[in-house]
Amino acid sequence: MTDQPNHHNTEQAQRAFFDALLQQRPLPIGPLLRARADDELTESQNQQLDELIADHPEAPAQIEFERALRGSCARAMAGPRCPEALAARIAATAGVASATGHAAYSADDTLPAIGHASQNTRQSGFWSDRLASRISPVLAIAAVLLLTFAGVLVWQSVEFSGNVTPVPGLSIEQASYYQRVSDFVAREHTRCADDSAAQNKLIEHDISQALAYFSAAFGQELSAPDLANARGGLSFYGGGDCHLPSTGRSGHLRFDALTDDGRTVTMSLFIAPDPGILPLDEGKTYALKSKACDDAGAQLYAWISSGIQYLLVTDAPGDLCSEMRSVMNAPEILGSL
Amino acid sequence: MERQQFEQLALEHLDAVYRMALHLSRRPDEADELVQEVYARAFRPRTIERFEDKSAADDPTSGSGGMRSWLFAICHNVFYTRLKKQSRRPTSVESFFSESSSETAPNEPPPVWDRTDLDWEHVDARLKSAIDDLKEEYREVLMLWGVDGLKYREIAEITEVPIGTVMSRLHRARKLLSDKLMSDEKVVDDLGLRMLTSEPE
Repeated sequence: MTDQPNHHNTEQAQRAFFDALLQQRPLPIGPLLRARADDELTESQNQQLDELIADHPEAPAQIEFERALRGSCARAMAGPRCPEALAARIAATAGVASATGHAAYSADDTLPAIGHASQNTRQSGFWSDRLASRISPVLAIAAVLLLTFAGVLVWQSVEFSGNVTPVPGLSIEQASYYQRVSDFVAREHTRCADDSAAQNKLIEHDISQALAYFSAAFGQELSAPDLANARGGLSFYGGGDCHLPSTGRSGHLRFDALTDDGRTVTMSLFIAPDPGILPLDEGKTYALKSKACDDAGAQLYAWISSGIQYLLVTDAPGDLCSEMRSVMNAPEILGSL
Repeated sequence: MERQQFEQLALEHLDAVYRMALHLSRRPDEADELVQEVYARAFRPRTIERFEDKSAADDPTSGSGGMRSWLFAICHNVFYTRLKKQSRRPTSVESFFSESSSETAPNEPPPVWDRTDLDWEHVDARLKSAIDDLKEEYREVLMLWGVDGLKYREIAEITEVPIGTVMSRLHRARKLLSDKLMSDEKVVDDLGLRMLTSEPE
C-alpha cells in the first residue's frame, strides 16, 4: 500500500532545492524559467530570479511560451470522463463496503479462491459426474429461469444498496451522479460561506473577469447577471476553479445578499459544461431534492443553458431565492425530474 | 475519517483517476480494470483507517497531499506493478531531494517565438497525437502537471522519483511536443511561427 509522504518536509526540501539552483553559476536558467512559469518558486525566489535575469530580455516570452504550452496540454489531455457504467459499479462497491464493513471487491481475497475453483472444474470428469445427461428439458428450462430471476434480484440488491439512494425516474448511473453532485455542491456551498475558506478558493473578485475566465475555459460565452437592478443588494463575492464531479473544468461563484430582516445570505453558483448525465431540458429550471442541501438548510436548483450546466445552491428565503434565480438568468418555467 | 465520508471523497476523484489510468494504459478496457483495482484497494477497511487527509485545511479540493494525490499514487503503483517494470521502492523524505537524479534537469531554456499569442487552439489537435506518441512516464508527468495542476513535489511523491527527475521528464516531454509540432512545416506556416532563439546555454 502506498504510504503518504510528509508534505511539510517535502515542501521545505523543494524550497531548498530551488535556493540551491539560484546559487549555481552559470545560472541554470532553463529549469528556473520553467519553474517560474509553473508557479513553483516562492515570492523571494521569484524576486531573486528577476534580478538574475534582468539582462535576459527573452525571458518573459519564454515564460509565456511555457504557460501557453501547459494550457494547451491541459486541454488536449482533459478528457474523457469515467464511463458512467464504471462509475456506478464502483459507487455500488462503496455502498456494499459501507453496509458490510468489508471491502466488497478485493482481488487479493477473491482471486485465489476463484482460481482454485476453476482448477477443480477443469478436472476431467467434474461435469460428467455432476451433470446427469438424463435431466429433462423442462427441468433445464426451469433451472435457467430460476437462475435468471435470482440474478436480477442479486443485481438489484447490489445496485441499490449502500450510499446511492434510488431516485424515481433516474437510472442508477444518474442517481449516483445526482447524489455525488448534490453532496458536493452542498458541502462546498457551506464551506465557502465561511470567508476564511472562500478567500482561498474564490480568488477572482471581479465578476467580469471571472466570467471571461470561465467563458474561455468552457469555450462558451457566459452571460453576466444583472446585479445592478437586483433586490436585496445582491453582490458578487468571488469566483474560482472547482472540481465538480464528472466535469473537466468547473467554476464556483459566490454571491451575497441581504434579507428583509438584515440577515446576510449566500448563494453559490456552480457552472460547468453539461456532462449530459441528468435528463434536464433546456428552458426549464429544476428544483432538486437533496438531503445534503436540506441538512445545510439550502435549496438546490439546476438548469442548462447553451450547453452549460448551472447548479444554484442558496439558503435565501422564498422571494429572494426567486429573485436570485431571475438575476442569474434561470428559466422561469419550473420542471421536475 | 468516517467510511462514508472517505468513500464519497474518493468517488469525487473518479474522473481524474480514470483519466490517469487511460493516459497510462491507452486502452479503455485496461483503464477500467486499473480504476477498479485502485478503488478496491482504497476501500479496504484497513486502508481507510490509515488514511489521513493531508490536503490544505483551507481548500480540500486542491488535491494537495490529499485524496486525489493518494489515489494517483495507488494508480501509478498498480499500473507499474502490472507492467512488471523495475521495482520502485518508496524514497525517504531525506533522500527524496538529495538523491542525484539519473535524468538531470537540462539547462536548455524554453524556446522563444516571434509571437506570444500563438493560436494554441489550432495546435491542440496536433498536440493530442504528439502526446499519444510519448512514453508513458512522460505522459504521466505531463498529465499530472498539465491537467491536474500538481506541483513538482506532489508529482515526485506520486511517482516516487526525485524532484530533479520530475523536472527533467517534464522538460523532455515539453521539448518533444514542441519539436514535433514545429517539425511540421504546415504547422509553422499555419501559425506564422519563427523561432528567435533556442540555443542552449
